[in-house]
Parts: sequence; structure tokens; C-alpha cells
Amino acid sequence: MTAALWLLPIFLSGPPGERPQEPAPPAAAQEPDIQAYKERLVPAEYRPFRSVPWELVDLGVLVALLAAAAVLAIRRSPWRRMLGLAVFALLYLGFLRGGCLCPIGAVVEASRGILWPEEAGRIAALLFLVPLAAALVAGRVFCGGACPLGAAQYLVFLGSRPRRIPAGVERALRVIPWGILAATVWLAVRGGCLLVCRLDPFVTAFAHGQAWFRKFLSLVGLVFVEPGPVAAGDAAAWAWLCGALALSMVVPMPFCRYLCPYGALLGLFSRGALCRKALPAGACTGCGACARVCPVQAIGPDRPGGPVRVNQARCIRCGRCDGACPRAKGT
Amino acid sequence: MEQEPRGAPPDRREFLRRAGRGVGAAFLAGTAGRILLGAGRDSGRPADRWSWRIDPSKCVFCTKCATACVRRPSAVKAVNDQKLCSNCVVCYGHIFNRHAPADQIDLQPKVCPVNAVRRTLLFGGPEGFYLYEIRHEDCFGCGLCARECNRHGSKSMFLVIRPDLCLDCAECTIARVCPTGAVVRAPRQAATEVREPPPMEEPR
Repeated sequence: MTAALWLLPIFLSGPPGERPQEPAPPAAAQEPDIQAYKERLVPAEYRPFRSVPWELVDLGVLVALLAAAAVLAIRRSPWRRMLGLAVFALLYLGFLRGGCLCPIGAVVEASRGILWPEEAGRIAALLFLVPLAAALVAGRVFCGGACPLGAAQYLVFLGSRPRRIPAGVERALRVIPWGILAATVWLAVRGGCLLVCRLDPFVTAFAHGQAWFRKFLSLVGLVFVEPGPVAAGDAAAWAWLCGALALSMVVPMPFCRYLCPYGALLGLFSRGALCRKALPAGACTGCGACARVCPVQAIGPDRPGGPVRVNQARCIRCGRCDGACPRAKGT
Repeated sequence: MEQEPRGAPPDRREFLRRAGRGVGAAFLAGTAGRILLGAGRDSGRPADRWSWRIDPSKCVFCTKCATACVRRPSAVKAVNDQKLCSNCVVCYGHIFNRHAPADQIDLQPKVCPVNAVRRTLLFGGPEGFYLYEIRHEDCFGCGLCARECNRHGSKSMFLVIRPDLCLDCAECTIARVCPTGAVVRAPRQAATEVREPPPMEEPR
């Protein structure tokens, strides 16, 4: 009992690390207490930068875009409305927010997260899941209405007529995304590199957009950005970007068709979609107008001489075929 | 188009479609349960977002952070941990010459190539205590100040990736070239924490 009473003041004084400092010698009394000063000092760069709310806003925008695109695709609205959604996605998710709130890159986080859930971010997992869930309902509406990468390529070729690739070559090239998906998952799990993000040509442009948007915000005093020009990417990245855009003018949407691993995954989910894409209603005369405007070469016969069908895995639900059909225009 | 009677067995294509839809939905639900709800997770709350961070215990101040970042200027900046800084008159992150007279320190050649390390007098006159700060407006992340401070000084300067400046590439280009693998993924909440201070020495 006496021992406990003897120990009581020690407990009351707290752990030794939190014991108050020895009183300063009288000589230092007229000077400011430097230790107290340091305790109070919290430099600006130590404060946590809260950007998670912004990312939740981005996620909300993505969900809203997908819902709107799904409604447009199911109701067969004019293709210009879907184009409007795509342009908004390009401007907001792409240039303003850097394009890296990106389901394509989230393939990596999701594949790691399935194995090691404690290493995955929840926002990235949602980014990965939401477009796939939308694909189960209405097909690849993400590619046609909410993906900034798709929108960039779609806008570039918009004025010109898509050039057709021979069907056999097209089928062979469509295998590449599956290889890239397998390589991406393998490298992500091994921890080597993130293949998708090295292949993505548009990240350079989007990084510039984001940096300059932040610079605009810094003029109002909202955020910190260094004075002077902000740049991103090296010569190889710029060459890759310009090359991809130039190729998009000749062959529409080359990244989506022949490289994007997430597009392949969306196509797989799109095969089981609740609302499938069908050709424009009305008696088909076989004029082929829909197949000529399709940017992803999704419309055509399965075999030579067979009936014309929409390939659900390729169709990005842009709605160009509905606009091109001479029969559907009348109705 | 003929209307199929309800309840009729679906044909082969439709059956495959439904089966695929079910498998896809099950995959999505399983992934969501595993990652979002943390089923099978050992401990801890899942992070919302991960971002890139420099592990100060592994950093060797090779100056590659200044050039390897996709962003120009780099999102890497040097900071001075004021709790570790000894606020001396001669700071090795500031000037090289340790024997410089106190009244000529501002004329000495600086460690920082862009003169981003600034000092302001706290108290005590020219021989007193100074506050050393790194202006992030000028800093481009070469880490020379942190190198000198860690070699000769109080080891208070180090490099951070500012998460607000970081473009958050899914694969950090600095991590590709970092010689010691010091650039790591970390939960966003912890990305700006200052490194742990060294253990306090026992007074004799």
C-alpha cells in the first residue's frame, strides 16, 4: 500500500517522454523560448493537403456521366448528345483533373487489391468497378460517353470518314488488348511497372491541362503553384501523343481498339449487357450506311454473306449508326 | 418480331448471355467486397487513396528527383524539419564554408543553385539563432541542401513529394530511376507526415 502511494506521483506525472522541460536558466529568460517557438511552428508544407473530397467529386461526376450515357444509349438519343457528354468528360476529367482519375490505370490497383486489399485505395477500386457495372447494364457507355481518352480520339476523327480495316486484320489486332491486360496484371502483381500508364499517350496533354488549371486557381490564391511556366513530359511522350492523334485521324480510336486493356474488359462485360445495342429499327435495306460511319467497326456480318449484326464487345454506344440510317431518320 | 411466351426456356445464346451477366456481377460484387469492405483484411481502415512518397530513411540525395519527375519544376521539394533544426549561424544546407565570419554569411556562395534556402533572424543578434526555410516557389527538388545538411549538419532537411503538386502518375517516373527505391506508395493520409525524429539521447 505504501509502495503504491509512493508510486502515485510518478503515474500522475505521466510517461517520461511527456515530462515538461527543465525551467530555462534565468539568463535566457529575456530571450524568446526557442523550444516553445518550435512547438508552435507548423510550416505550411507539413499540413496535410486535403484532396480526397475533390476525388469524391470526380467520382460523382464519373457516375453521373455514366448514368447519363446509359440513359442516352438506351433511349437511342441523337449522337450529338453523347458527343456532348464525351466533350465534358474530356474537359473536366481530362484537362481539368489530369485524366488520371482513370479507370484504365485502376486496373492495376484493382488487381493488386484483390490479392492484398490493405494496399488498395477505395476510390481506385470504385473507379475500376463503376464502369464495369455500367457495362453490365448498357454496354461500353464509358468508352463512348465518359472516357477522356476516347473523347480525345473521337473528336480528332470527327470530320473525316472512318477508314475500314480488313476484317481479318481487325480481328487479329483486337487480340492485343488482352495481351496487354494480362501483362498489366502480371507486372502489377509482380510489382514491376504499370504498363497501362506507360502506353497511355494522352497523359502528357492531361498533365499540362491539370497543371495550368492549378495555376489558374493559384491566381485567385486557392492553391500553391510555383511561379513561371509549368511543363510536363519529355520529347518521347510528346512524340507518342502527336503520333497517336495523327493515327486517330486515319484510323479512328486506335488506342481504344488495339491497346486499351480496360476496353477489352468492358467489351467482355458488354457481351452480357442487359440492354444490348441493336441496329436501327425499321426494315433494313442493307445499304451499309451504319457500318460506314461506325468508328470502331462494330457493325458487319459475322461471316461473309451472313446477316449484319452489331458486335456487342466492340460497340462503344456512340449512336452514330442511328443518325446515319436513312430509315431511322424518318421515324 | 415474334413475342416469346414468358417462362419459355431461353435459347442457347440467351442462356450464355445470362450466365455471363451473372458471372460478371459476381466478379464485381466479390471485388467490391474484398477491396471496399476489406473482407479478409488483417487490420486497419482502408485508405481512400494512395499517393507517392519519399522514404527519408532510404533517400541518398542523388538529385535525380529534380529531373526525373514528369512535372517541370518537379513536385519534389525540400523541407526543413524545424523541430530537428539547431538554428545555427552557419547552416550547411545554406552555405558550404563552415569558417565564414558571421557578418559575411549572406555574401558566401550558397548551396542551393536557385537560392531557395532563406534565413531570418530569430533572436540573439548576428551570432544568434536563425530560422531556415526553403521557399517552395523557387525549389525544384535537387536536394543539395538536404545532402549537405545530412552529411555535416543536424539532419533536419529532407525531400518530400508534395501531394498537391504531384500529378499522381500511376507509376511515378522518379520511382523508376531512384537508386535506393526510396519512392514508395503510401496512403494519402500519411503522405505529408514528417519523418520520425531520432530517439532522444539520455541526459547524463
